Amino acid sequence: MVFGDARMMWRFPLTVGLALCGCASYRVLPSPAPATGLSPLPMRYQETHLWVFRSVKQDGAVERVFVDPHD
Amino acid sequence: MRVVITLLRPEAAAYASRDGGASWTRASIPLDVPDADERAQAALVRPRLLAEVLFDARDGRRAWARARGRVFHTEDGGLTWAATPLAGIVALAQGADGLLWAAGEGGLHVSDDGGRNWVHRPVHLPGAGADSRFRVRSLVLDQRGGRILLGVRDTRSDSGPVTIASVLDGTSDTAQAALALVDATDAPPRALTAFGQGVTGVVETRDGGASWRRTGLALDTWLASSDGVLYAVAADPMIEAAFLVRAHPELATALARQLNGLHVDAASLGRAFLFPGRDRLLAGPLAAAPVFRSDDGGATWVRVLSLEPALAASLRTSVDAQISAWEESSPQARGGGQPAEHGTGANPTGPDRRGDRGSRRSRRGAAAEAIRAAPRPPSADALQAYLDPVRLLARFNSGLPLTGMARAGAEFYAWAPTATHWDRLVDAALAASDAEGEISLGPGATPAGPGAFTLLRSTDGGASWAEVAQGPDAFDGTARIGVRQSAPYPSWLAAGPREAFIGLAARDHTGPPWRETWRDSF
Repeated sequence: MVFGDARMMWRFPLTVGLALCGCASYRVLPSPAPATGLSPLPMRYQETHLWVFRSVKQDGAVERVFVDPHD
Repeated sequence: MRVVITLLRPEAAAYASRDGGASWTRASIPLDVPDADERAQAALVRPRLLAEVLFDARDGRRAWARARGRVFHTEDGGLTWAATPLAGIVALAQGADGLLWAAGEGGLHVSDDGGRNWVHRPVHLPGAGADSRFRVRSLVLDQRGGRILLGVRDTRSDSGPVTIASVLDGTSDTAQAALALVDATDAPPRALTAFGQGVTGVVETRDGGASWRRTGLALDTWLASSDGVLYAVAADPMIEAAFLVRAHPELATALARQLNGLHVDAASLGRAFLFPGRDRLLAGPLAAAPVFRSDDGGATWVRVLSLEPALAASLRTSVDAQISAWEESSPQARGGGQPAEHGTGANPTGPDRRGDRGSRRSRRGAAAEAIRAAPRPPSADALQAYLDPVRLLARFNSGLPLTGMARAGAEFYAWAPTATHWDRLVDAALAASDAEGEISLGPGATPAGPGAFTLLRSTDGGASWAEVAQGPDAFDGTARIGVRQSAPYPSWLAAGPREAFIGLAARDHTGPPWRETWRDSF
């Protein structure tokens, strides 16, 4: 029984740690200034794990864009 | 420039920018997020996160969004959105007086405080039974007369496959009435009240929804206005089918043979697939159904036999939005299915991909008059795909619509297939039809090859179009897209006053679709 409790004590932080590693937050980075004419719109974003480990990726996928026609 | 984007990767979320994308802020919006598979497969043609964003013309911080029939509003430029209690909404419109109108299940709703609070205005028609049920297709604010018009379809109007198929030989009263309506091209302005069932038709209110009355159009239509004139594009599946039978008799004849269990000679279909020309393609759904006009506010209607390009563009952008909202709001769509009621983008992997036929068997080499078990009659969607070359070829274009259009004021943006690409699609469709011994509905991946489409821009309201200069390999992503034997092709457009955004997609049957977004700054 005591052995089981000890194992639980390790499991809980391990589970929380793995969950935190799996959870990531994202921040879309500014798009490059548009050139006149046609150009690709790369969707770059910063991925953050554990509030510390950050990496910049460029494989963001846009579903739709909605533009204010009144501007 | 205010921009809202929805992302599929790295997460399903909306972002807002007040500076045209120079910076992005994640929007807080309580969306119903579809699962990842559904997003990946379905979002090419129909958006799954947000279907529409309506920006307030008078207040730059305010906007409204529609998603799966729900409506959200923001008052801080898109950073935070609150859900409204509305559901089943298919159309949003802002009046010149600032009032916001929403139409959908249950009729009309109005808000005088930017979407925070809503008042329900149910549609009660004189003479309609208490059990009347309808779906709203269209919402038009007639700014001059202070009227509000709705295009509604009685839910009891649905025709079964057998009835729809009778339009091929006119063997039902409904089919004969539909063909007669389509053939009456020189009839004087008149009320059209003989076809719609129940409450189907265009209804109007002049007192903000307190009372309603029918107009002279009792027909299931998409409704739009241009310069104060009302236009209605037939949306009744039987009328659409009758129009297509007359427009493409070769396909109708072949389909009638097919439904009688006879072999279809693919070589006989070639004439139906001649390149229709850019103007006709740009008319989109207006080229595949009868269009009516009313010069007296809806009392009488006359057939429009030809549309000037500017008028076609103006009406098309409105009708496209309505079709998209209708498809998104259908029960099948809400459940994650893939209906393609109207052909802005047939889906090659959806439930009706085989046109609701019976089993598929290769019939290459079959005797020309071989009789086989007659297949089940096709559904309305499938019948229209069989009879409309644009819709049918879209199925061989990875399900991506052949044309699309967006507008920002007098600026219009569009894409259309080149004649070369059209011929590639025809070759694919005829080869598949030859192999199957009947008109094939595909699906097929967009044929690889350069110059599949042209991007077009109009600065005079759609009256004239100029090709947007493309580099020789601008969209030739063969090396990087990871989708084999399939060319990138536009799947959506968004136009602003100084910029347009183009969504490109490619897919075959080996993996998830490839996507890329481009922009054109001018």
